[in-house]
Amino acid sequence: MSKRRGRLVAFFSRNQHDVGYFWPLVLAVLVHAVVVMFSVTNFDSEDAAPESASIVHATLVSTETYTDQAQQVNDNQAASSMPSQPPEETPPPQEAPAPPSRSLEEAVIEQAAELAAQQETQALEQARAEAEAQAQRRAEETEQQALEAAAREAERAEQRAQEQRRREEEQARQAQEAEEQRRREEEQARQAQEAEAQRRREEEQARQAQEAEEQRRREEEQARQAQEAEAQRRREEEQARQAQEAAEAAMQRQLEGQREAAANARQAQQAANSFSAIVRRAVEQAWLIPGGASDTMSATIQVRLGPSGEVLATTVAASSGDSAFDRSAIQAVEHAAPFTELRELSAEQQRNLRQFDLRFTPGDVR
Amino acid sequence: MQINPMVRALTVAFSIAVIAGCSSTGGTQGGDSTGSQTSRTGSGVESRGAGSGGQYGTTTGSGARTSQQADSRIPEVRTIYFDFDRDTIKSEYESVVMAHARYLRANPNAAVVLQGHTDERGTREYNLALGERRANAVQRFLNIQGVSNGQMSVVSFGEERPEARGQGEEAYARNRRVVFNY
Amino acid sequence: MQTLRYLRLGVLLLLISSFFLVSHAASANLTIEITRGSDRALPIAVVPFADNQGLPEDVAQIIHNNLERSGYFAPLERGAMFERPNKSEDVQFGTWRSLDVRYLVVGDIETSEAGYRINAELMDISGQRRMLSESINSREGGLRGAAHRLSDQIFEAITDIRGAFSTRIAYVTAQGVGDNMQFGLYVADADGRNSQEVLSSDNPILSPSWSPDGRKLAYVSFETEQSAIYVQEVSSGQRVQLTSFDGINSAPAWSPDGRRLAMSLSKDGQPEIYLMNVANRSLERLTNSSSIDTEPEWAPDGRSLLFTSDRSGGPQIYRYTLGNGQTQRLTYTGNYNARGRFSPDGDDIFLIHRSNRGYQVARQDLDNDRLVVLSESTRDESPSVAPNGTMVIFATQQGGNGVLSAVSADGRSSFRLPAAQGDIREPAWSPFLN
Repeated sequence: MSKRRGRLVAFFSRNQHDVGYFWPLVLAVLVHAVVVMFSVTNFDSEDAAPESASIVHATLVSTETYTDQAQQVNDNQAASSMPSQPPEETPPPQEAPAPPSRSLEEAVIEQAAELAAQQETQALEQARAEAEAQAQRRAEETEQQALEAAAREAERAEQRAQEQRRREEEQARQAQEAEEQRRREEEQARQAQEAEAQRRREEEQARQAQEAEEQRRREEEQARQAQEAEAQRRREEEQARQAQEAAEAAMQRQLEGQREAAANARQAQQAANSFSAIVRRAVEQAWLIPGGASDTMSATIQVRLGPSGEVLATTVAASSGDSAFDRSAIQAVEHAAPFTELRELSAEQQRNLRQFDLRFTPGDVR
Repeated sequence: MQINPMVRALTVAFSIAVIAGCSSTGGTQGGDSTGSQTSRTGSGVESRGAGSGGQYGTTTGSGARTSQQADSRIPEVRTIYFDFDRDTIKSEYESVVMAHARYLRANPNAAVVLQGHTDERGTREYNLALGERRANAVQRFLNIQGVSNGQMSVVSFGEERPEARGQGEEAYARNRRVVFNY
Repeated sequence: MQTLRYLRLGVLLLLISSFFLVSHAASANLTIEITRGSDRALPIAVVPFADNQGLPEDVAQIIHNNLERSGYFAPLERGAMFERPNKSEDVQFGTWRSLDVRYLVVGDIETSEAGYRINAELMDISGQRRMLSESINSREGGLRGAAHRLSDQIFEAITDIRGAFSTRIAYVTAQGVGDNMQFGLYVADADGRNSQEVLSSDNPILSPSWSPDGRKLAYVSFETEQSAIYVQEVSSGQRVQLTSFDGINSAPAWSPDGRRLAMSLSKDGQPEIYLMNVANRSLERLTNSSSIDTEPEWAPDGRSLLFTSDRSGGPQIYRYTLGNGQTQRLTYTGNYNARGRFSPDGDDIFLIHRSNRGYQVARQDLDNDRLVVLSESTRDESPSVAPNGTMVIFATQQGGNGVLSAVSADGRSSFRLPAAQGDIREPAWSPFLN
């Protein structure tokens, strides 16, 4: 068995080798073809997705910046309007995510009102200062115009330089994009290769799984066959057992009857026991052990009773060898009689207990 | 105490040897009997030996004057007493036995019956034998003191002739005795 | 596999069937074990015999006393009898049964010119039957003897042991002290009555011993101022001096065939055991020791003798076997055991044992050497066994006087014999006399 299985395993492993070179080759060619196709046809659509993503990202960044700036302005205003406040009262600039408490908001509103009043006075002072500076400004205006013309010329030159710089930047950007495109293609090829390898691995796994499955199935088949044989054996056994059980049951029924008889016998035995206990007590009470009787003496007296428990006959079944001893035993029975308790027993028990033996052995002298 | 019995035994053995050598009547008893007597009555003779070794000299010395007169008459004291189950002549009675020895030696024609008695305890036949043993002890003592066996006879009454009636040590002590009956 | 199963079944069947066989056998043969009983004496009633008035003896009372003394019976007092039948036909068993009487003796006495005719019947109350019907003729003056004979028959009918009421005892009396003493040798009925003096002396008498035929007595007398053994015919008083050796002549004991006497003589030094041929007076010395050997006693079969010896120090009982001359020590309990006497079957010896209470009558079983003290008194001596082995008579002290006492061989009962004049000692129970 084990030898054959070994050969089978060897056969499969040879096949595995043959398959291993052919299919990957085909797959590799196919994958390269697909990669080339994709790189030609789907270039624009491929490009669009990353662009939109980058735009969304940029938008998000600018929004964030905007809100941050607004906040910072608010904070700056507050900080500049209340220079006398202790530094700990000032909310730290980085604590923005934490929502301000209600009292703090109220405080901000009050501060805003104060700020408005202050700004009004500041505006008046500014107007006065501006009127004072008017004259000065007019004197300076002619000087200013000359300066502005020079500045405009400089500005234009600057604009041209900037234009040139922007074009160069655009060229660099395009080159970068081309490089980007090349990298993406490479990546796709690599991914395709990986996918092929993955596929091959999966195929290999599938094949192995199949082989394992086949092996399992073969084993299962064997197990099933063994099981069937076992089941068959069990069925046969079961039949045999049933046959035996039937036989034993028959026996049992027979025994049951006998057991019942035994129970009856036991009951009779119990009745006999209680009756014999009565007889024993009475006879022991009546027995006068003769002087000189040794404790090795023993006499058995057979007693036959009448229906009322009266003694009909006593006979020495086994003599002690000492007639006085035997006589003392007989006399003990006669003196203890009648055993009227006999009448309390059932007819059958009475019949059984009408005759019994008494063995006299002086073991215990009162 | 340890040496005394040995001294006594040696003294006794010596005196027995001397007496046996001198006395012709000693031969009537079988050699086996004499030998066994010596060994058996060792304890009985033992205390008598103490008397002859320790007291004899003083008795003869101090009683020399009185015995000169008394030797012609039967000594007044004719009963000596014994301890229970013993045939040893007690030291207090040795002077009595010695007086009888002197009388018998002085009067070779005189004859004495030594009557042995026991107290009533024990069986009669066995007591008869015990009474004889006491009388025999006295006879041997007298014989060693030079009294001829021909002058002496022994009879045991066992417990049959008590001197005192009744139970109790007082009566028993009076009944355990040897009587010199002339 | 299959065969094993059948084997199992077979075994099962076998077991069951055997169980039934056994249980069936047991139920058919019920045996009740009786292991307890009473050792009290048998209740008996001896109803006064009719026509008893005016007669010199109350026969029923003599029987009553005899049975009572034996220790085997507990006779009902006359005051408890509310019926006094004289014939078995008149006996109401229920009446006596209600009095817990097991046996009943009824009878009457007819008087005639020739003497008396005594009719007696023994009834088994429990079995409701007559066990004995006897008629005895008696001359005038013979009523006591007739009563003893009836007692013997009643005793034997119930106990299966030969009665010893018709036997006799010999004993010695003493009066006075020291040299002024009077001694007498007496023979009396076993109940102590009807005593006759067979010898009187102012010298000690001891060790009476009955010849096996019950006609002669051997004894020791000091009448010659020395111990001597005599043999005297009881009826005629004729006697002979058998021994007068130097020293002790003591303890005569008849051989069972009556031809020899064992005795203790100290003629050769120490008391030794001798056998004397009674016919030619030849002597045979049995023991040869440097100690006291005395109190010989013949075994019932005549093949060995007991004797007392102090060869081990104190007195102990030894057995000398005739033929091979071997001596064996029998007693080892205590330091004083003397005067051994065989039971009639030779299985036990009765002896005087010194216990820490005193000198007591004891019995030693020769099978297991177990020694049992029988008597309650403590100054006992001279045990003598009844010829039927049921009783031991012995001498003891009561109020400063010697008296005779008897104890049953198993020690269960004892009685004191009626006291005669003075000090009584040395009882000897006669053999069966008829």
